[in-house]
Amino acid sequence: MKKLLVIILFLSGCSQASYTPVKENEFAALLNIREPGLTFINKEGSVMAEWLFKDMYTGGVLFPDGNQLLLFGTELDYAAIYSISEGKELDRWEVPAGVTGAVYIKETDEVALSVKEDRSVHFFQTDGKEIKRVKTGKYPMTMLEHNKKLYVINYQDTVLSELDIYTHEVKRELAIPTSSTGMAVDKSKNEIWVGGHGYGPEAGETIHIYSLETGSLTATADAPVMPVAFTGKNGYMYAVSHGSNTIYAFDPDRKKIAQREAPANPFTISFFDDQIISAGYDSGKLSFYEEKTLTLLKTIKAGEGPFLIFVKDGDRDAAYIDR
Amino acid sequence: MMTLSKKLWLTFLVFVIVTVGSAFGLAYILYEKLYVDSVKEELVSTAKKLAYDYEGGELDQTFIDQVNWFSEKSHFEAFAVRNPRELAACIPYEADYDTLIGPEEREQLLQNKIIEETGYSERFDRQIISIIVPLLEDRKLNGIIYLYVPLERIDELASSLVIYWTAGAVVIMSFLLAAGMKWTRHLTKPLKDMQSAAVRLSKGDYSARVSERSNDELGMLSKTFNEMANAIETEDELRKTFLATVSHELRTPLSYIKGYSEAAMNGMEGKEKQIAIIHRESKRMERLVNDLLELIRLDSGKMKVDKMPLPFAEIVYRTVETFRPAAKNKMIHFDLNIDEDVIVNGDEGRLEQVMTNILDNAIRYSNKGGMIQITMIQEKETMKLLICDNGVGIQEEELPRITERFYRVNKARTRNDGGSGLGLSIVKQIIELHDGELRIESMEGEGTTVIILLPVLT
Repeated sequence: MKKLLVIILFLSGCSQASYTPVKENEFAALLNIREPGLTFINKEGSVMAEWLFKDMYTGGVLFPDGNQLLLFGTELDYAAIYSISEGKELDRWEVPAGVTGAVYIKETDEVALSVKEDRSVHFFQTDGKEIKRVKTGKYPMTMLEHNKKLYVINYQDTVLSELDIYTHEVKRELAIPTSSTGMAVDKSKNEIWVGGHGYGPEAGETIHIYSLETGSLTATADAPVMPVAFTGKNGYMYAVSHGSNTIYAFDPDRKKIAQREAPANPFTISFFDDQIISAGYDSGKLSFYEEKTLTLLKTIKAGEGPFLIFVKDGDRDAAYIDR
Repeated sequence: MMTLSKKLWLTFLVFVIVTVGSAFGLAYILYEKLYVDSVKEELVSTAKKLAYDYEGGELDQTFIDQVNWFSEKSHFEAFAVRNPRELAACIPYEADYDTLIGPEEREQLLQNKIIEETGYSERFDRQIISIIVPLLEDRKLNGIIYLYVPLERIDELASSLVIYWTAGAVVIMSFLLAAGMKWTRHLTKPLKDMQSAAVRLSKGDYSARVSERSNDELGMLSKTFNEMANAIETEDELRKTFLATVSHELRTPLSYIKGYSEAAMNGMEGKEKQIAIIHRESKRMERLVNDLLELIRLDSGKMKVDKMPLPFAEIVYRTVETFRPAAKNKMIHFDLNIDEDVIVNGDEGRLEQVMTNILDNAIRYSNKGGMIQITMIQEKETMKLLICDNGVGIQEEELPRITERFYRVNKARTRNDGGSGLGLSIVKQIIELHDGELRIESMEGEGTTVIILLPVLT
């Protein structure tokens, strides 16, 4: 099937490859790295479509319309905008090489790209025009927009930068451990959860929780080994640790209420409808869990090397983790 | 100077070094390959055995301790790793840390493949042979067993062998080189001998010879050298004899001329007789000089021979006619038996000279009232001319030397007879220039037969 698809892609012309359109209102799209492509899954856990790319995209962001998907590659000097419902590439933006993260800022209708080469965040209009560049720290990567602020983790630095989305200026810097990855905001407590790999040979086992008001560390949560991604809903927070292949559930009091084995080497976790899904980079499998209890519902085979999940969940805001 | 023996020895030296060196290298490679391969095999089987104890799930401390215990007891270094950071689990995130295994290795381990590596490890800062066995559970790389042996240990073992090797190589090389030196000396000795002999020859010592020790090329060369030296010596003897003879031959008429001319100057009586003697001796000298010139020309190959078809009978008749007066004086008869149809390809003047010289001898050594028989016949493609006299003849032992220059059978007598002692030498040379043959048969007191064989024109 994949081979056939490759052949079709090859034969379909040099400029514009076309892909199987996904018109459904709900899907989870897995970005695969080992075999570059996207795997579209429905709520029942069936594969709806598989897209294969020639270029290796390492990240992206699904626009709030739930249709346009921006994909970038750290080694590429462009970002591509795909229409999922039409199954084709719509546009290409010229971007600097070394893009490591992307986020859509709904309030300003801008896309922020973190770039490791110049240690900056670049702001683009939705037509692909760059409007601003702001230096943040060494290796900016994970980004999150909350309450008119853009939070940027500088992966090889010890600084979390807080930017004003209108002025694009760095307003505040929070001290965080190096090799931090993954972030989520707990709106109820106005706190931000930060995960990480650890430093040097020491694998990180702790989630650091900072007050967005004071900027200081308010709590920690154990989530061994190497928590790197979060999702949340109704006051509950879920984290995935790729070092121990484990997902954790925390109640609104930050108390660990459940933990479950995840697919091999998971880097991503997300809500899909009322289920939690997590994909294993090494095993290429996607598991569905019940929320709160983390009861394993099913595991399916998805693409090779899934690294990120983009979810379109009805009319819900796809770019936003709601807690 | 680079002598031949030095060159040979150097070639030998290079050959020995290359041979011993490549033998050493080959042995080392083989040793390393076999030994390192066997070590690798042992590492793999040991690592596998250790991995059997892993029963799935998270790698616990007991297992890690167990591997550590093994490491203490074994000559291999072993440890188990469960730290995902060391196992490159964070790829595709950029590595900010030098992990124990790389992404490619992780990929192989995930496929349950054992990794074998030989070379420098930055982690251990030394050369190692390492084996990594994955501890997998359904694509989950829960850990690895890492087994290695520092290469220095293997090298240490190799270096102890290298000492034996080097000692062996030195002994063998010294022996081979000493033997090689002796052998090349032995080989080149005949050449050295030959060189010194040649030096002696060039300085006039014609007795210089080399020993002929072998039958190989050098032995043949020695033999040829000796033959050459013999030839030079003989030629030198001949030259000396020739010079002595020429001087002697010239001195006799000169002393006559000197003596009789002094007598004439002093006004001694018998002037006419004195002048006649001076004249006769002058003529003899003239003839001697002419014959010598002729011979030298024949010898040096400068004598021009104009060959043309000739009826040989004519030459015979003509010469006989010339000698008739002289024969008549001694009352000698000619008996001719000539085949007049014989045609030879020759130089008329030279062949006439041949006849003249032979007839001159025949008449000179025939007694009064003798007979000279001349027979000429054609036998197949050869003309056979026999000139037969019944004169004094020649002793058998002197026959082989009769054609030598200045050789006289009866030295005192023949000189008085007016011969130069060169006649038959000239005859022989001319006949040979005509591709013919000269034979002389004789019985002392009964006469001599000169036989000339010449190719006939058909």
